[in-house]
Amino acid sequence: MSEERYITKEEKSLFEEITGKQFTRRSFLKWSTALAGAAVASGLLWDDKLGFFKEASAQEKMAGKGKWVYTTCQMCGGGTGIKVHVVDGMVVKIEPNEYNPIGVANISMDYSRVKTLGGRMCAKGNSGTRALYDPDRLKKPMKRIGPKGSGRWKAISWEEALDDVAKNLLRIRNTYGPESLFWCTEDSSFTDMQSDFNLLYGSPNFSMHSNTCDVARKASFKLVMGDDRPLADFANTKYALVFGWNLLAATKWAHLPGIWNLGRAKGAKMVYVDPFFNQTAAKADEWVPIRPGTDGAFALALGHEIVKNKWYEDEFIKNYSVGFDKYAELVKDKTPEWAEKITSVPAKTTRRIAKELASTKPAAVDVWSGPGHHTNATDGGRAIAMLPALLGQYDKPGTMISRQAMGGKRRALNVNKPKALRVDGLGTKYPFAHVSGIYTETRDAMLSGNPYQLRAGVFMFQNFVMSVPNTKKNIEALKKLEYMVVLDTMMSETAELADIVIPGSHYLERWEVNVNWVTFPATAIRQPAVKSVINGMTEQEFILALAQKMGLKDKDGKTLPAAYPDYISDQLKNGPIGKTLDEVLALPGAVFIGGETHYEKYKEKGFATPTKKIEFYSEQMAKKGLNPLPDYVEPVYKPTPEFPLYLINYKQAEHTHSRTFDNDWLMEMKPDNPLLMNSATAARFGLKDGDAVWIESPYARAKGTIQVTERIHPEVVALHHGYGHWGFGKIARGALNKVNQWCPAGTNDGQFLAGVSEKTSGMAVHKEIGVKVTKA
Amino acid sequence: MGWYFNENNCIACRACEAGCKQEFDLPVGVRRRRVVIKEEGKYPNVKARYLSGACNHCEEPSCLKACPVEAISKEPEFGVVLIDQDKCIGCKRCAAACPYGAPTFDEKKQKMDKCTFCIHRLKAGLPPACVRTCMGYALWNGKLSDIETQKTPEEIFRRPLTDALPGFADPKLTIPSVRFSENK
Repeated sequence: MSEERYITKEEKSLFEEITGKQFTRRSFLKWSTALAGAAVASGLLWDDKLGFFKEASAQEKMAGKGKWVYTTCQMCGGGTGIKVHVVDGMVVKIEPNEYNPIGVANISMDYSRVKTLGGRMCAKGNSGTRALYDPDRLKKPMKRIGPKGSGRWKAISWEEALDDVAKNLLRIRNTYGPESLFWCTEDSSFTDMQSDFNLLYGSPNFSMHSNTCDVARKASFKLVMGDDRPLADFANTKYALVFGWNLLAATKWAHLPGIWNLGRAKGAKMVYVDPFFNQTAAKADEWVPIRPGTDGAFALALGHEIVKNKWYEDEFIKNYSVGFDKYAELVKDKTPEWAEKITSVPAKTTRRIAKELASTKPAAVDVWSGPGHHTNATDGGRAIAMLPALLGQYDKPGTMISRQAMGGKRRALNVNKPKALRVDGLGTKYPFAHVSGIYTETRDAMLSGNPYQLRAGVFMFQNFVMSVPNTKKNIEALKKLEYMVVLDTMMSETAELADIVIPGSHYLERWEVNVNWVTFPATAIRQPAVKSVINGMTEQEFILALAQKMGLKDKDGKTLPAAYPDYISDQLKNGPIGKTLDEVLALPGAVFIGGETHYEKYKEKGFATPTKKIEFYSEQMAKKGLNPLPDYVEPVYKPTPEFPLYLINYKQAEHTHSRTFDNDWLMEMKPDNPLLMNSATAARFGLKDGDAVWIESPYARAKGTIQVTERIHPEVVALHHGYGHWGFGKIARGALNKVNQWCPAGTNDGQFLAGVSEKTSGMAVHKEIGVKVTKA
Repeated sequence: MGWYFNENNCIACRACEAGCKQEFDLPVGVRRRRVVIKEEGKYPNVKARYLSGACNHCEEPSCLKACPVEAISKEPEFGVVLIDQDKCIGCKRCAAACPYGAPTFDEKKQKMDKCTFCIHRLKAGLPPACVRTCMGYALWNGKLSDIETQKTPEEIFRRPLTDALPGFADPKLTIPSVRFSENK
């Protein structure tokens, strides 16, 4: 379905009457919805009854007034550099900060050149003020007075809230032991201090958002080449082969569209592999539709061709890798014909792409959360990460490059290691899991009490119910917690189940250090542009006050510092940057740049694997009983005769995770998430565009609407992630949607999933289930 | 002053739309700039076309002629077409007359509303808010003569230029101040 409309007869005749000119074409595109049916009906205006939204005020009235504050965005975790225009204590405009490479480029040379065009930022960053001044923001701490989920709360003072949390967390620790606390957080937010809090409390169960993001990718690259997040140099590549990463729109970093377009403009060929034709497919030279979760088989077939034809880089493999012979043996029978049956990618396409990839250098081969959210993600990701290894395409211009970072250094606390193991199997059941933990295992432990019962939970800016696969289990599990604290800017499906809800801060109200995800050292400061709009404490202030109130100390009597800026200043001074917070703030754009991009670092230091080489064969995996070679494993939750379609989720530039859905500007752009279905599939099931349907998996049945498209594999249906809220603000609940009355808030994709994690990395499996779709 | 839209670089991220909303604190329903997505072809040979559009500040604006109360004018310095909301009676004739549907209706004010090319920013030597934030470097503004002689940052922008993209109204109708490069 296209979002277009053509001129009406009335418009045509009015035009001709006014101008005396004749249309030379039969019809043409009109982009306004002023007269025709609007996707979002106009007329729903900003609700100011809560009284802290500013008067509409165009920038022309503000010119020359107020001040500009250089800081970083956090509408997503990307940390784009921004500058904020503040007039009379109110934010009136957010613009890109060209000093910060996140909105410019990820290679130092490109950064120096392109920053003269100004940094860039996305629709979410431009809508930041709507989150800051959202009238649905929590303003006071709230204590639950009815049963869990009853929605009955009473407002309490900040002091009462501190007392309540301190008293209960101490009681839980004294009664059940420190390990009975589960603490989770968004991971680009003051995790340093939260980690220290957990160390002082004594709980091992500190988890972070990454587990629901890209930890399978991390494990894949780390196991193959030792770096858990190499960065693709799209600007200088000649050939990009990207698996399942809508980098142009699920914008992890604001420089990605610019560097991709720069590469294309310089003549690179871009090939994109995904079941869904998203923006990245649209701006690639070739789209390769593939069955979900089969990318590893495709990569092995490419490897087969490269090995069979001896297209690999012999010298590089000899000097910098181990296990090539075993890999060659593995891919011997992984022919393009073998892969075609699994992936649906024609064998001749595979042969051609293998040849192009091997003969066009430099090449960047990357993979993210498409294949990364499946039960076979780490193995598939390793097969992909081995392709650039075969061709020597690591750490050179135009390839996958390892980042050099300079951040702060935390002073170690003198505490005993917690006696209990983590509840989620990090490092044990999941030997190559990321430090962020395994959410589904934690959730299952809440339900089963194995290996022990979690009693308290602290949820920092984490909508656990909507973000972890299998919504129903999440709700049941959280109900088992004896004491649950939620810190967030808004009510949410998770906050509904809490005992106490603490209002959180917006990123324009607090401090942070952002170590940037670019290839050269760049570290930016997030600083408050305005005072707390709700006149509240930031989470940082709350936790520090809490630690003080609870009397948490290490063995030397050291506790958390009195103020967060002092804490980060000490870390910056103590680390490789060697400057205080004030000194970094005084740098242009409040960004520290510590050097240029360096290449072929492996020639001096080797790769950061146990053998210091690229590992086609992983001895460390063999030791843990895992397959040391990246053999193809079928996904576990495939479609069945009863649930015949693959359901995947996807993301676009208008939204982040499950948390931007109360933002009116973003919701105006994309108010709901119809289920995308190929026209052939729709015809097979007797469905048409706009139909109200029921979507059903073995785990849930829920309302949806159909959008018929050519942009998806016929065996696959897709939902945009993050919609379907019922406990969030009124806009997230569908208040702006005047068109879709069947499910105005859209459909929550997480409810249909089994709720498991990938066996090696512990990655939450977000994209693997069969569903059936029936007309409502 | 005119727009340059390079379809090769547009990723339909809608940063331009939000940048515009932010610059003017526009309420829901008032969308001065819009990204249109058009799907073409049959699976698997499918294409998506993205077009970011706003008022094209035409040389011969049909909206200006359509306005019964002379609320619309063409400003002399930059050639920006502006609606004077004090005069506007909200009859919507301009929206109907515009080949691009650029004027939108503000329900709260009961007035027409439209892109001003960020004239307040142009006067200060700044690019319009949409151009300033464009993630893909798809949108640019400048003198039409500069655009035509490719005086735009190298590499970011590609030739060849065209007067219209498929589906775009015949430029002869209103002589819009915009040039394009079509997605390859």
